[in-house]
Amino acid sequence: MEDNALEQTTQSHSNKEVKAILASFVILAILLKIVFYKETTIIVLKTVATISWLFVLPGYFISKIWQQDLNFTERLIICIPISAAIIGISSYYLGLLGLNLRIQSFILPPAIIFITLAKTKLFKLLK
Amino acid sequence: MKKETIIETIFLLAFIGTMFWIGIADSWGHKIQHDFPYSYLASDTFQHQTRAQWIKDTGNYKYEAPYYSAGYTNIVGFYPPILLHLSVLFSHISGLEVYDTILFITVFFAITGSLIFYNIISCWNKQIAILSMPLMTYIFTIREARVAFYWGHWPALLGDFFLVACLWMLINLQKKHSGIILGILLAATTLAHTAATIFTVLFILIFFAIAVLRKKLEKKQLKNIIIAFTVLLILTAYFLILFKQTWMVVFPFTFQIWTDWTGGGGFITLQSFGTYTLLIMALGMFFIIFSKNQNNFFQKLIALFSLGAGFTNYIGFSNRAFNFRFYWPILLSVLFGTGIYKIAKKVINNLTTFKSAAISLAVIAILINYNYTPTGKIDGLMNQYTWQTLNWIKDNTENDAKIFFFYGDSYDQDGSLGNTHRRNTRVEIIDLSQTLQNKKIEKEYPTKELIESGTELPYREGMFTYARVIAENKNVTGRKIRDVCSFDYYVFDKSGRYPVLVQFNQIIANTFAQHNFTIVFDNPLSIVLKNQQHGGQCFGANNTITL
Repeated sequence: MEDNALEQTTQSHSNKEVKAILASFVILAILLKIVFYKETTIIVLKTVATISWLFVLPGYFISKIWQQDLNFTERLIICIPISAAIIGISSYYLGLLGLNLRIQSFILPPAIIFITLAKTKLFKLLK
Repeated sequence: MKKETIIETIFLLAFIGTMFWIGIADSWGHKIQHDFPYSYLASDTFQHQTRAQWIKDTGNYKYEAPYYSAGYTNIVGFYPPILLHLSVLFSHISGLEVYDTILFITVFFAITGSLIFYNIISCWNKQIAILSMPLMTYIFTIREARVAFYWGHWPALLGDFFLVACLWMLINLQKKHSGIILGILLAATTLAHTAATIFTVLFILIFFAIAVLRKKLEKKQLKNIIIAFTVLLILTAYFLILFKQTWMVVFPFTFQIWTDWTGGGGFITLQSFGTYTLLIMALGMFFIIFSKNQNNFFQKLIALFSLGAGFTNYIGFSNRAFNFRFYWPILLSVLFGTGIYKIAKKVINNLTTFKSAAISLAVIAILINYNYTPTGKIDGLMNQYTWQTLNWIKDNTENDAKIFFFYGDSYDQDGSLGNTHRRNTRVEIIDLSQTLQNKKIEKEYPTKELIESGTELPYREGMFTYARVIAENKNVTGRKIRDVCSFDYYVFDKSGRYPVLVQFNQIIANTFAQHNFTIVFDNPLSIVLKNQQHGGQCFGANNTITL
């Protein structure tokens, strides 16, 4: 019973987070569309999607370890340098190992998210 | 959502929008995508852009491009890579060109840097954090700070951004896995701009020394810092070995006192902030130093450290101190925030988040109105016709073709010529002016080839050892007297700032046309001639053209 309740709370928390991230995406898109008002909407959307893909999502998942201490805005801000650092460093070394940046751009962010989630699950299982 | 959070969010959004507007949108004509590199005002900008484009084309940064490495194909990628890689990844996903993404993300990170620092200050006092934001706008309004964006001090800006992120991590060092994350962020400073690592490590050492003296050092913090330095070493070992054998050999640390930086476009001084702003900062400094509040120890330390680090040009840190000063508007903002806060507290009894945000926005509006002149679209050094010419050369000439550029307004900032993806040499404009006085030009002439020779073209000798081409062969150099007839293609501009030099171009082009050269490309600004008789008598029998 307790496990179920905990799972439900976690699920509702995750849903809230997804909604918050989506809302941030929309707000940033509106903001950039105002600032770059001569740009087409599709380019603005692509730019915002790229920012989210490269600089928000990987770091946001990593910063999940601090979700008790930080609020959503704090996590959203700090996830940017964390993502940029991890993506940038990995990309450099993977490139040296022969993985083309074209491929990296699509697989690196989900790979980081996957590793983060897998590590968290593994820790939970070990506990 | 709490009312206070909503107010804070709206305030931050207004701030972000304003920063984007004055940071890049105005000079980019409120567009993100452009037909050619926009707002590039110096050779360095193109240097980063062409290198990033090379990485995009090859898919990695194992080697430097032969077309800016004197034709060598084994020159190892020696430049701090992180900005280049991020801009290429951004380009792949967004579909934007690298020349747009590289400048866009530099501005984006500067804005994010200010938000991180806002967070650092708000750990102590949210009102002061909000009131600190107006000073951060100076990063886009002080001329010398703007130069950093438009003259291409991008790696330094990125290094400073990761430095701010490291400061955030340091204040959160008791958090889970913070040692690992701090290590990654430190490694990012190294791979962005190595000088930023030196300043970050200096700060960490001072922070810990003071913590020891105050007997406030926790075991967990010490453990995390050891983890951080271990991660830093592991992640940067490959690059640091290369760095030690290239940058540190060619540019060894020498005790140099710098008081000027004309080549870099000037540097931020305290006077750059203006008298009234400085007075408010001085007031903030006074209150911060003499406050008995223990909660602001970290913010106090950052402000004092940033001020001191910015002046290390007087103790041998040369222009690296000026690189650090690019972020002064962010790092010193807590002084301004405290100053305004103390003044506001005298006038307003209950300083709420709403009131602070209103004051902050009003001050931002006043400062921007006072400091910022709307630029309108800034094309920069590139224009559609030159871009068309460079791309034509890239797409239509042989891979090993050598290109020669006679006078053109933008060719002096020769980083842009890398966009031909061919080896480029240009005429030395200074010598050209002297030639005009002599009224004749010789076939053997002072020229400059575009070679990124900063670290003397390093190549791999062993697994972890590198040698340098220029150290072994001093003849490999950009500037030297060359046989002007020995090139495959010649670019002449038909208009420019100096009509005499344009006329000069016409005379040479006409002479070439009489010697078996053919026009292969023509647009309203430039023509490209092909040399059919490579190394022949393009100047006629006397090897001289009389003007």
